Amino acid sequence: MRPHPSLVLALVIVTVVGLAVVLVELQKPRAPELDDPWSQLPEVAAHVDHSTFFDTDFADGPAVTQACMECHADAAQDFLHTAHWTWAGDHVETADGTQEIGKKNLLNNFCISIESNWPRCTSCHAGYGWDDADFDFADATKIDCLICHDRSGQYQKDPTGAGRPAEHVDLLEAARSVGRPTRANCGTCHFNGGGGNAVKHGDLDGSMMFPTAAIDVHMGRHDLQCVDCHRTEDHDIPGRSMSVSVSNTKRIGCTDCHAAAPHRDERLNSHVEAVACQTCHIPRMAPRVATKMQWDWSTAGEDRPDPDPHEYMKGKGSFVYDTDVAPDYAWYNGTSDRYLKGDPIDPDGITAMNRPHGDAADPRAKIWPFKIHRGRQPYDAELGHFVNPKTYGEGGYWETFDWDQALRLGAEASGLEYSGSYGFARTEMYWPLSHMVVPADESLQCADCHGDDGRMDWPALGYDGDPAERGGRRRAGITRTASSTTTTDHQGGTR
Amino acid sequence: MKSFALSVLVVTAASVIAASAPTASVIAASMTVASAPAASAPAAAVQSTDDAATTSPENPASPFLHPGLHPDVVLRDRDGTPVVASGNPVSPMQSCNRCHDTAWIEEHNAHAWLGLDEAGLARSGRAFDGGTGPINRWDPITYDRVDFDGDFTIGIADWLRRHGARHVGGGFATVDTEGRSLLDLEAGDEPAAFTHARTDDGAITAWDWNESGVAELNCFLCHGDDPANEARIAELSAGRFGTAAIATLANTGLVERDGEAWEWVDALFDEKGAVSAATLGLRSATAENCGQCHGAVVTSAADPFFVAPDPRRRQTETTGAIFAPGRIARSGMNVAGRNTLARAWDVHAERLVDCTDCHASTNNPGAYAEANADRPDHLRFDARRLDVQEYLKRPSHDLAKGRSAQGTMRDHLDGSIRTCADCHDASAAHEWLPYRDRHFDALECAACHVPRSMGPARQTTDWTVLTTDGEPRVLHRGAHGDPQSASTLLEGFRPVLLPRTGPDGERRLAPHNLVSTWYWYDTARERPVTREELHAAWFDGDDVRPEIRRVLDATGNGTLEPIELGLLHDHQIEAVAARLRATGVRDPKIRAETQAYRVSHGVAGRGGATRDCSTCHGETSRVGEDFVLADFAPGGVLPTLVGDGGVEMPGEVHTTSCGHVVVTPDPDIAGLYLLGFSRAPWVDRIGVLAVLMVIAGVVLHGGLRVVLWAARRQRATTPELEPRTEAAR
Amino acid sequence: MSANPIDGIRRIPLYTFHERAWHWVQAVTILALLVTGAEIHAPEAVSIFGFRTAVLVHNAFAVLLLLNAAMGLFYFVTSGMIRQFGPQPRDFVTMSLAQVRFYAYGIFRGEPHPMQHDAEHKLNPLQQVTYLVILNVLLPLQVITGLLIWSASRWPELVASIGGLGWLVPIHALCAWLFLAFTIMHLYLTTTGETPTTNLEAMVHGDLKTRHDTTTEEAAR
Repeated sequence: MRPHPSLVLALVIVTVVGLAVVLVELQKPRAPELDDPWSQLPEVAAHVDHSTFFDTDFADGPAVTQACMECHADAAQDFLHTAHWTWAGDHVETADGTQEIGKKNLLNNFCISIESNWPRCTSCHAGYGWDDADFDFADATKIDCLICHDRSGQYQKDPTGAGRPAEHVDLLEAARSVGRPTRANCGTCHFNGGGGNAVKHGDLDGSMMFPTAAIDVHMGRHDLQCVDCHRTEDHDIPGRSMSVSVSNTKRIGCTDCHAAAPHRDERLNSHVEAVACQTCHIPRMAPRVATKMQWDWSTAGEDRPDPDPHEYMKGKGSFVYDTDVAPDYAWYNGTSDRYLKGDPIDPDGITAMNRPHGDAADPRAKIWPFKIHRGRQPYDAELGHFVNPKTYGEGGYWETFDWDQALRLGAEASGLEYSGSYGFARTEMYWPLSHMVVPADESLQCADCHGDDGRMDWPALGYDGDPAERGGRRRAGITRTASSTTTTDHQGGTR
Repeated sequence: MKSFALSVLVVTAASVIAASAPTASVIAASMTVASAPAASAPAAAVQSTDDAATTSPENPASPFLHPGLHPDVVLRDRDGTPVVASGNPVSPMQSCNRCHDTAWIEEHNAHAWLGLDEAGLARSGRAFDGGTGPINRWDPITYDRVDFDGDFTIGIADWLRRHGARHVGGGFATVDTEGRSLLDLEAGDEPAAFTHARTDDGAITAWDWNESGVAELNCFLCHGDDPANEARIAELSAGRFGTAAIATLANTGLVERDGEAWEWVDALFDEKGAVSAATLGLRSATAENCGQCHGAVVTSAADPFFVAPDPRRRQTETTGAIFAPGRIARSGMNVAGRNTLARAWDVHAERLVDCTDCHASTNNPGAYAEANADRPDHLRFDARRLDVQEYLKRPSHDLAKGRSAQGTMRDHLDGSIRTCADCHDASAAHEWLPYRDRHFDALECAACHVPRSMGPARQTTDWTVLTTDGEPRVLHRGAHGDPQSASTLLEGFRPVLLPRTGPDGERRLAPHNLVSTWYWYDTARERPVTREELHAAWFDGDDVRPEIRRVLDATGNGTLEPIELGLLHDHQIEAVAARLRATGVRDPKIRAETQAYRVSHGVAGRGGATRDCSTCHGETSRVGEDFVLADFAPGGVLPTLVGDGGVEMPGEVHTTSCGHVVVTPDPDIAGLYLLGFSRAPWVDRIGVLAVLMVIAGVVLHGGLRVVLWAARRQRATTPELEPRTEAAR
Repeated sequence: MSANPIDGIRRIPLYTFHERAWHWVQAVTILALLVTGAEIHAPEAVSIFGFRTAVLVHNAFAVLLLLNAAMGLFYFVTSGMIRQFGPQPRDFVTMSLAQVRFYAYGIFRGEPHPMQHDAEHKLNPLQQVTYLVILNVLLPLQVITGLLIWSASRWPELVASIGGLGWLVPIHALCAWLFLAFTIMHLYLTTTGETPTTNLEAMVHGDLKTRHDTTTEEAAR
């Protein structure tokens, strides 16, 4: 059946208008593909109000957990396999075979080791009652659900209670309030690492609870929560901390949401190959609250008159804090070395507790920003390895100020040999920065790195000179052109 | 017919489908991240702040310059004796000429001669201009003018004392126009400008160059990484020209001050009297060096700098441009709306492009390229060039230049500069611009890429009056208050677009600042009244003459406030004129001129350049916008343009209702037609008339039809009272 | 030609599909050009699209107008319909006067049109003259000045040699005003048929609906 002529006429008009639209678009330039990070954010499940689910008070933490497990038993089981519970995860090959390493058994250059100090250190464990080496990691009732899921704001752990909640906490209120974790939940532990606010990471501190956009653009301007980037499935929280991990798995990255080369400027995009996003977009650490840059245990034990706790504490030694610190820069391909318990050291040199792998010649490596924490800590002067002191508790250094005893007790707990003679050796520890991302308008500019006033030490990074003048590592022939084989893990994220 | 329709339909339908598909489906310019794996490399290269710092007294700034190739230099005095032996001030000409042909360099150095070596009349059209450069072309900002042919105004020694800060030494500071060394001149030699100078109270006396020394071409000023410019200026101001060069080395540690004398630190010299290039801080000139005289230059992006207006930093003073790599928001300048201004002060500074990248030495083998006109058609690029060694022996210091109001010297080098098009491919970045080629033909790049100049730029210099410091009344644009203060709000200004014939002969609109000057003119002697005459007329000792104070002191409090300085009324003008006549000026008249300075720096990249069509295409187009020249016209005189920079000022200079002197550019006069702004008023009048007439006709005709139709309808439905036909009766 | 009328209404085929298509495409493009052209001419007074978009849309429709006009011309010439536009000298004055009398007087009294329209005779003499000017003077002038303005970017010397935009744009703008005036007049005059919508319907559906008995009037002609 022939269509009515008027209809055809109308179609003609429409196609002419359509043609006009085509012609208009043809006159416009090809628009570059725009970065659309909002489309990549995780979908958040609807909040289930637990306020009517509980009516009797809870005796202790595990009682709450058992109540949770009535519905969430599989979640509990899942959690038992994760690093937040086991404080271990990576497997490394050593002379004695495969070792599982983690915070549980590694040394750092802050408070050094949890071994022999559990009740104090495990106050940040997502569990209850890790008092000693015999904690039952298979007991799901010991899981602390509330530390991550409490939304009442009054849930706190006893600082020396091996993970148990503090006295004043109303467990019933906490249980009723549970929901998706917020920055407050994560931050209550992660902002206070190393013994206090802002001490440890450099890019995580209390100012991130409710940051301004100038402190962190994601969490400040856009009110993202930690779990929006650390997207968790089955309670397995992704993200890599170079302090306790060495591998390149389970990473999160900027490219989980952002395009790999999202700049409109081609010159900026050409940096993506050798420079990590963080390098330009995190130009400083600790903008508001001072972070600890140096910790010298060797000066501990002195009775100084009224010392400033940011400079000296009798039980810990002397410190250097600083704010608004420019990071150090190093090549990093996602994997790193790790000093393990018992490894020998050169007492006259500086031992790197964790050194990032990669250099200018490694095409997988990029220049990352780091906080490098430097310190001096006790080592066995005869046997030549670091020894962990017992600091907290009976016989610990913070009670007795007796290094020899503290080291003996510590070595007992950690299984290290201790000869009885000790000294202090220098260490440095690398903490990569990924938080406190500044708004784009505040990111580093050309002259911040290149040119006479730039902050990069080109020879130290393996360049002959400023790549703005001499060309990047490809043009200068520094990078090896390896044959291409695909890899499963790369620094770009999980996409 | 039907098949025709069908085929049309098919074609157009296909187009509609294509149109509805996202047309922004395109090739993203993405850089692929290297994903090729590699075995773990040896120990990571890392930079630690514990390591030997890159900046230390031994290794200033860049570690890659020192140690460089430059050998140790024996510092010698004017006689060629090593200074460690004689203790005399250093002579750069004698020290550097073991490898570099310093005499040749001085000859080929416009900075040294400032136009005095060019036998050419000024193009400015001003009778009192003796030449093309700052030394003999009257500069209203410095005001002083050395007259080599006519009456003695000031001497070279005076000029060097007052304005030597902006002179690199050498040239006329060491030899006269006949080529004789100043040290050999005697009091009677001509021109008097070289042999005489004024004392502090204005009298003319002979100048003894042997006592003061001569200011040689000062290599260290531009080729040192930390020249002590203030110390050098102090020496020049004090008339101690011979020690200008040694003072420049004050920051190297090689010299120490002892009262007024300079002592060499012998320990830093070796047994031959040589010092290392690192100690001297020798390097190619950078923007920092150029900025000492030419404009405000900042090198660090993180520097929260503040610059106050300074006539010594001429580019910033005349255009408001600041060459800084940091973001405007990050600096210490109190710029209005700075929080939104994330763009850099100058995109080239941001991208580490330096002055000499564009203003290169004209025989630099790395930068040199023949002009299109000189190159044979079959060659795109002639690779044959000077050997580096030859270049280093005789590097031309006649630097590449464009053509601007200031650059009236070295005409033969006009257009030798690396222009925008020599580096940039504008067509790639301007696909969004309709009629792109038309825009490129009519506008210089800077017209859109210098949308606003944010530093304080001079607007008016009123030399018809003097402040208590003996200085003219100066106004700056865009500053709400005294721009010397860091808390004054700066608005910046939008440069006026004026047609300019560039070195390529093409006439385009370019952004300019207009600096207008009012001054007293000696009609009989055909030159501006000298500073001395003006001073003598205005002041009696330290006080303003009572005759003048009387006519200007509006508040009657006995002192002249800055706001009161202004010759608006006849009796005020006459009062000053009378005093000028008393000092010997025969027919003083107020004159006014406007100088156009092309704004070439402070360039905005993609993030700040003009993109909004309505900036020019619309009633409020900036092309026809009023541009303020002064807050009032002293003496009622309106300024005319000094036109030797190839600029035109088409449009009317007039006084607005509130007394401001403005120029309203008229693109019509310049032969430009802007859609949306330019109008032929008769077109609109005829058109509106036609449309209105049609509408009137339609309303009348149609209205009448409606009315009469309604009446007919009414008659048709009303019953007849009488039969219609005869038969019915 | 005329079928048996129903309800006393005869349908006389007047405009072919192609004529109608050409007419309406012309109408749409001219309207779009007028609106966008107004914005280019006075961006503050007319700010609908934004200056840049107005320019792009104006250019797009200009191309379409050109194509449509060219296709239309081709069609009229090859089909012979172009004869419609040529005034017949034989009856020209008589019919013109009759038409003028109709518009000035007869229409107010409800008199019928002096001219019977059919597929061979679509335009009255006044219309023929008007369209002659519109299609052979005004439209070409508009198109040519428009093309020259556009080519100021590509061939600036050419445009400069004929005087530049300074007089091209005013001419283009004047013609635009005249087109606007014509359009208003044209829209009104379409209401002068048997009923106010007769002519509009004819241009949409193609048939002229009339109550007049065409057979006797045909004989009378």
